[in-house]
Amino acid sequence: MPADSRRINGPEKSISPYAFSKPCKDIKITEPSLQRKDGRNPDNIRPIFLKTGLITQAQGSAYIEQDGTKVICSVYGPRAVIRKEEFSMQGQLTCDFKFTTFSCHNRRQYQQDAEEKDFSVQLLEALEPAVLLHKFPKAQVNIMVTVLQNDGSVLAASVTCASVALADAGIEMYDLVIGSSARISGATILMDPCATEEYSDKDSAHVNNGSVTVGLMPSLNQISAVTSKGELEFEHLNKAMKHCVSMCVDLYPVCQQALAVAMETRINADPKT
Amino acid sequence: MADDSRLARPLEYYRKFIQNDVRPDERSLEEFRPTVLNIGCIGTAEGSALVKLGTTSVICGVKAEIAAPKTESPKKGYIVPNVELGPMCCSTFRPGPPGDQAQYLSVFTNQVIQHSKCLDLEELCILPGKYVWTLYCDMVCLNYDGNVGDACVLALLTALQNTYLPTVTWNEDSECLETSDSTKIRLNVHSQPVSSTFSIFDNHILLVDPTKEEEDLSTGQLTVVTADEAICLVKKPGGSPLNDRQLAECINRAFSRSKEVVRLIHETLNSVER
Repeated sequence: MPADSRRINGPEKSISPYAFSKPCKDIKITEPSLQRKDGRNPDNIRPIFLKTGLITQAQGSAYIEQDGTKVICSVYGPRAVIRKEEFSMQGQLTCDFKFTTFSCHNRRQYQQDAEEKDFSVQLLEALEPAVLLHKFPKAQVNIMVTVLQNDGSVLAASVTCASVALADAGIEMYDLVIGSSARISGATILMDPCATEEYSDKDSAHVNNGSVTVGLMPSLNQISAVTSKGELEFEHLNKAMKHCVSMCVDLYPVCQQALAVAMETRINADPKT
Repeated sequence: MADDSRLARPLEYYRKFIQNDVRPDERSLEEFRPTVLNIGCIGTAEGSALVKLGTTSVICGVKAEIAAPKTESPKKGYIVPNVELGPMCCSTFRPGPPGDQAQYLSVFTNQVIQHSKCLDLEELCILPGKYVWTLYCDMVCLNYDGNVGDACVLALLTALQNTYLPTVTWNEDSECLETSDSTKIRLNVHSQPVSSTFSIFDNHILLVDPTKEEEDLSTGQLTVVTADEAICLVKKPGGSPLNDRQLAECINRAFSRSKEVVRLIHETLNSVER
């Protein structure tokens, strides 16, 4: 690969020091009713922190923290379409998803890789049904999502974060989209999995092993996006989705409260508007 | 009303304030914005720091990896600083490869590291001629509100002081590397480079720590980097000329700023448990 002249370049090849650590024991997903590695029950989700308006340069922004998963999102627009594209009476929504290089266990690259592009598209498809696109014809809204630290369930966290940022930017929406995810392993359903519990390709040998991510619009009670990985039996998938939906409903008040707090501070700062 | 004139005639709006030795955000001309420092905020990085300069915020994460050294310097490790000004931090940046300013800042932070000699690259050696550490220091701007250079240098330096490397040893019997997670070694930082930026307003007035608005209106910029008691780097990329008295004033201010920042770093490192 030719050296990137726009960046400071390091050595051509480097390896993570953890490649040489002694192989640790295989992480076993615990039996139902038993505790998980971080002390949670299978149904429990991690504590959530959500705040809006941290990026003052953007029209709207939000930051979400679920223990080790930290995602920040900013929304610009509606603004003029950058590239000449086809005329459209519908507004356009674009989504840019990026892991920072230091966000994962192994170092990420600067360019968007296949996984990030895949997440961008999934995020866009989850949010599009909620936004009133016909309210800003000929213009576009850009959503930029950056993962600062990845400890599992990033897509779900990003969906929640991006929809709160959209609301903070004053983009008209039918409803917020709340994301949630679950890991299915045999008969066990683990809600809000962390990085070590997440489904990976090496688990694909086992039957009925996988994960599911759901985007829900709680007050409309409509699902805007579902994505599942792995080979799953229908009844297990169905059960996991029901769990996810109820988790979304539980998260809804958190998002509402964050937006209410943002609105209050805005009114207090400038009583005229 | 005030907001309208700020948008329509920003220069006149600013002049009115500066006549009275004050800026629209209630700062005096030689005052920095409140600086907030947080360390160890990214668990997946070997070291990390978040800096907020007013509303400007920069996060720096240090990722350590193992690489082969150059043949001409078999003991020296690598340090690779890069600044990311993504489309997230400001409406003028577009997705894609780094723009001119990001490239300028990457080179600038690299020069600061090289000239201040804050790291001894030979301390990054694992096995001479075969394995050395390479530290990838990525500074990501989260909110762009002026003076990102100062914030980057501060974030980088604090992140380096927060960096703990796992112990890697060469096992002679099996001829391979062994990593132990349990004991971690702290990185030695030998000097404390601190950067201070001044923007020149109306060709003769100096403003310390400019916001984005002030940067856009400025007619020139001056950056002074001090390392402990010495000047390590002075950058003045064109713009309005300055006389020697003004330059001396800037350097004095940079030294007093350096003391404040070093105290802040020490307080943060001591108060926050990793």
